[in-house]
Amino acid sequence: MRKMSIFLLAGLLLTSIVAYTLTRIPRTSRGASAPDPSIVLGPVVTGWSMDDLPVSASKTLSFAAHIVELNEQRTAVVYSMLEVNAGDLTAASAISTQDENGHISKVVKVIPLAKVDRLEFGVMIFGPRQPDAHELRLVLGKTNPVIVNIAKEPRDLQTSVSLSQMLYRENYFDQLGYRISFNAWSWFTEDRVAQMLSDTGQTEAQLRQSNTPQVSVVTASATATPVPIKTLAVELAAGEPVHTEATLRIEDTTTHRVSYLYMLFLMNGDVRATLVQ
Amino acid sequence: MKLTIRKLALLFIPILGMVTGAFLINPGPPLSVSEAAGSHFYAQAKKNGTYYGVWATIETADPKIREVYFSYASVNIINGTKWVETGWVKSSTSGCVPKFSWAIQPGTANIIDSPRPSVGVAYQYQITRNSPGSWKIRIMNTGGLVLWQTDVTNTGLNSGAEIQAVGEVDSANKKNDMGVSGLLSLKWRDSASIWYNWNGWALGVVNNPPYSVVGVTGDPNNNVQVRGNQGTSVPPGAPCP
Repeated sequence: MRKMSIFLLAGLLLTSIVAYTLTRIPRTSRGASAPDPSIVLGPVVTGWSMDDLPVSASKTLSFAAHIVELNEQRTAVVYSMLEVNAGDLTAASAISTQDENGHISKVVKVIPLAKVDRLEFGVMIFGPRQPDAHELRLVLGKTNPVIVNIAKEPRDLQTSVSLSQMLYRENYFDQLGYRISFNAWSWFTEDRVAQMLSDTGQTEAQLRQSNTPQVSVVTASATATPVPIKTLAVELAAGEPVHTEATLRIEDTTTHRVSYLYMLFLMNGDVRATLVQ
Repeated sequence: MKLTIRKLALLFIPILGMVTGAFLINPGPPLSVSEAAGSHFYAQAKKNGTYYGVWATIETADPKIREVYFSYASVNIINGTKWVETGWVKSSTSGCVPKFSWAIQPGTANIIDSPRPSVGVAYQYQITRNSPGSWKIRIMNTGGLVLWQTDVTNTGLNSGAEIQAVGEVDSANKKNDMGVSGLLSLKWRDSASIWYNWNGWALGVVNNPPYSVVGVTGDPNNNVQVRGNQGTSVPPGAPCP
């Protein structure tokens, strides 16, 4: 009788537990998803991109913009340039940015980076763009100024000036016997544009058949293993915190000899570079 | 075997504990919408063009969540004010291990309770257009086995004008780690369902310090790493949080 009571008690308890547990199981079944209003995701859209052809090749000036930095402190333009009458653009008043509303921002500083033959590489620093700007162009020179469209944003977007962004030119630019291209936000000695142009694409089935959907994945998991800072960067930064690296590829179109302009954008606003042959 | 009341009680203690919540992760108090707005910080790699899909392999990090609300690694496809995104999220309510998630505008996270990602393991996240306004989200292991998928209706989102690979934290005082995770093998899809490598990306919003995005050595135009953990590396399997 006592044993019977124990089993009855145990059964009752078990039934109660099962019933209670069932009420605690989340309503989402395995494989389903449930909204969590406490987590508000969502991307921030920064609609600015570089102009399709941010270059000029006039009688007096050959100019190409390669990188544009936009943030609330400044607009910066990494360029390569040959000035026929050297010195015309050295006066700060001869260089400015202008938006579609006519707002002009004079150059604050020009940082020379390197020289390849007669071709000068450098960074022009301007004040920040206006909040309502959707187009930015460079105005180079006082008399008969050269206008170079450098960046644009769709009219239906208005990215806050406080949101930083760094843009690059997608394709090659042939300038004075050199083929110049943005290569990577890193030290990179392959030819990014050639890789892009030769990429004819694959269907998902082809990718799976060739077992290469992960073809460019590094073998070791990078989780919790930060990409190490390169020796080159350590030397160039000299202890200053780095915002980002960048490499321009510069190919002599006659000899096909390639050199690289490796740049560091520092947190203090400085830009440093070294030419690597 | 003689089953005594004492033995029965010992048997039921753990079960009772689990049922009453003693062994459950405390989900914490519910959050108001204003609280949930928080402060968001980013490490974005982005690309502008016309896109019908985006695909990335994302490593699952184990960021420390020191304040509300979350750390997040994701890919997305955007056009104007409409988007689809998917990735993993670790939040103050998700417990020790990140969870898979997805969202469309206005951004309420859809949390996938099962399956769950393992810290230190990479998964493929793919967003593709089925038809105008209809998108498929797939989460796969690195071998291509589909672990979870859903179709999402987002009327008006017919193609993307921007794609992003993003690390994000919602952390008013920047106390939350972004962790260190690779967003690898970045691909985009055209209208004919052909996949291409990104072959380059612009830096979108990057709030550094402490958060940053860098190209992964070897193929930095198709592999990025997002990170930011105040110099405190969090190894896989580190104790919660």
